[in-house]
Amino acid sequence: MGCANRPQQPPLYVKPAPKDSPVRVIVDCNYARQYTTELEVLIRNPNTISAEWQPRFYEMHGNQTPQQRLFSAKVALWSIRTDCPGW
Amino acid sequence: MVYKNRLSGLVIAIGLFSGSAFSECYYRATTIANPAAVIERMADSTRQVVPYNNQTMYRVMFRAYIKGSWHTAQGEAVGDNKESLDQLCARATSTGRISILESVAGTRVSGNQEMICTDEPKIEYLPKVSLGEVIRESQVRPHPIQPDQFQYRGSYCRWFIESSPAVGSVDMSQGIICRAPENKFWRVVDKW
Repeated sequence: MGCANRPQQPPLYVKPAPKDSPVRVIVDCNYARQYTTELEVLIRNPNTISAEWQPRFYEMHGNQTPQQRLFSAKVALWSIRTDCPGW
Repeated sequence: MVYKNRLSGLVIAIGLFSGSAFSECYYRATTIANPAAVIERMADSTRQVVPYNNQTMYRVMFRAYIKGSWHTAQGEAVGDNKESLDQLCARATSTGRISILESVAGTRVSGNQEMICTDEPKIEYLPKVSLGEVIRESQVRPHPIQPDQFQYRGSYCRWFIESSPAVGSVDMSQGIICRAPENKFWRVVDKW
């Protein structure tokens, strides 16, 4: 009653940024452990990507080469380390 | 007082942390002034405390990020024993901030050249840094989207950005620099 429904954000989403500007990735810290593990695996081998991460990386930079995926994974991983103390 | 008149409307908030074994001041600061004159970040400060006519002269040097580039600033303050080093440091820093704002943003026309007395090597901006390289904070550009310092595994870290013109576009790299709490130098720990 009287409370507007807040739009539910996914655990990881990309904040809109101006063109040619670095993207800002926001991660729900409840997922920090899981995502850190998955991203570290992905950084070691950017040639393979899971079905869960495909749409997240697409949101960050569209279709990506393995090297671009590596860069996106680093942005996501360091965003977790920045925003989620202890990770 | 003179500076207040020159820069009316200037608001300076300084939080000061001192006492480092490396004779440096650490602080966070926000300056609101004419839109043409804003210090977005201060870094790499060093200080000298010297006797001066039965008083104490406090000289602080630091780097100020203004309008997308780093500038070297210096401020001085002289005080007697009643004033603490923290107070002197705050005054010297304030003087340096106003001076560099005037110099860079042109709020005051001056024919004087700034004289900086130091044994420390001049800090140069590095257009390209390598993984593992040890640098000063002001040798790289602050990251526009991730400006804040954060802690990672006991170190203080910051994002930085590096761009170089490429054919038809700008080739942009991002990276992370970290330093141990007691260290004034930063190491490039990741870059992509």
